[in-house]
Amino acid sequence: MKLIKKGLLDTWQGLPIYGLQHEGIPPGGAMDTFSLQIANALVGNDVYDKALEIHFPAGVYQFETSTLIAICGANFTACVDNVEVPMNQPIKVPPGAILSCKKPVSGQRVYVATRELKDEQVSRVKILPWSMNPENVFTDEPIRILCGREWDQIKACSQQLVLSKSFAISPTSNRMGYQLIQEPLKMASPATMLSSAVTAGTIQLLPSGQLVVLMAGHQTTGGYPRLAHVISADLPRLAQKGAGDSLRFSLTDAVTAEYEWILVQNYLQQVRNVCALKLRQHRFDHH
Amino acid sequence: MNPQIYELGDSALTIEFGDEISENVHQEVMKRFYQFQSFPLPGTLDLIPAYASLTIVFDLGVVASRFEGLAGMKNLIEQKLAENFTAVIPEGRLHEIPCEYKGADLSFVAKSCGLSEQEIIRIHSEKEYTVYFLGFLPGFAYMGTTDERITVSRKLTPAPIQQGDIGLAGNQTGIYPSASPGGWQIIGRTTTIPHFRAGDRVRFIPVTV
Repeated sequence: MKLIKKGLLDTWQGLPIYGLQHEGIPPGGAMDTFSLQIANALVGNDVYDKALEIHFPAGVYQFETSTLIAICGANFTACVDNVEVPMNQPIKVPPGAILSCKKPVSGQRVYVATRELKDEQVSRVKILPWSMNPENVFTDEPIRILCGREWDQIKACSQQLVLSKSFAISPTSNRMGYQLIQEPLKMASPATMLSSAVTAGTIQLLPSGQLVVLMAGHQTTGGYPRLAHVISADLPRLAQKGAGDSLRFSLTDAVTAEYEWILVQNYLQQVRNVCALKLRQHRFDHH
Repeated sequence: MNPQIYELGDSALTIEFGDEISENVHQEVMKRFYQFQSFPLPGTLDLIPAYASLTIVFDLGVVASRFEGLAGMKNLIEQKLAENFTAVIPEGRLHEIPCEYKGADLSFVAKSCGLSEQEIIRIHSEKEYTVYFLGFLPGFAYMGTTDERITVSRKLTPAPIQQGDIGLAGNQTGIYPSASPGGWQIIGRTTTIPHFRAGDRVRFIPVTV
């Protein structure tokens, strides 16, 4: 794939890579790992393959070979050769085809998975006749959180505020974290804590009284009070929100967090199985 | 203090061995780091030591479906902590870091500590430091503890910092392994940035270039 015009923040991202956090190296990876995995499944990629994570304004790309692509996550009105193409559906594109994104409609990050078609010469854009439309994932329901170690150290009225008010996402938000805007929260007593590990989803209380939610590009350790943690199953949904959007929080428990995670993993496995089946049948029928 | 184990979200547990920066507490952190590295608990993805805590990051799918979730892992950790682990902990290496004490904030640090620049340099280079853990940036080593006479607060807003800059914050000192915005008070610079490991020892050698 050749870059025709540089986007604001387009990078290749895969699943987070663990095992080096004691060296200060964060796991990183895609913000919305759910859409990343759907995209990879649709083109028959390995679960650990990287996909292009695109923010708006997006770059413009040209395919150099016959390629199978899938566009998932945010809707930026993705076009191949200036014609809008469907999301969540495998698309064959010929060498020379140009991928661009015209207008952001919903969501913050597009994932484009690609797989070179080595034994096939594609002559025109061809949309394959199946799609994986993830329903009930990117809803506007409250983001579910678990209490953090320092949750009890903020005043009861501040706890109430976290669970009842709507928080706006600040324009300074990025892959490292989302700064949230609300009236400042108050500690019951001054916080003194030693730096220790943080994870994606950790919600820290800054000295200003504002909250920051750590996202995929977070550092390995932090020294601010950890008020709460977004459950893993809700991180992809949060990743599709951005500056100007608002969100609410609701408290849940560890058992629900684990159950929801397993549901997501089972769904993704189901998608991988169906996509593999469809792709095999398609190849069998056309060769 | 008995170790306390608490959930860090839905897929990590933090074991807290104390609430202060001390050699003894950190020794315990490192001992358990090597224990859980040598004999990883099922589903372990990462082990993150800090000043007084060790965090274990788990694959939530594994622990949720096979080990009764984090609650089950918590019980398992309690059992492991009760075992007397006697494996040899690798001895930290001693790194000697040539330091050119000409940092942009040296005069500010001297003023705020009520000392001369020469005294800051002498006090900072006199002591041998321990690398407590790595964090913030890949390869950034949190070292301590500095002499209380040179304790300084962080900058209110982070400033641009160069690779190799040596800074102070509270009773910590450290070397920036790459350029980055940072809030530490910069007192010097080095071109020697070794691959630090938690438990290593560090001495700064004043040089003039």
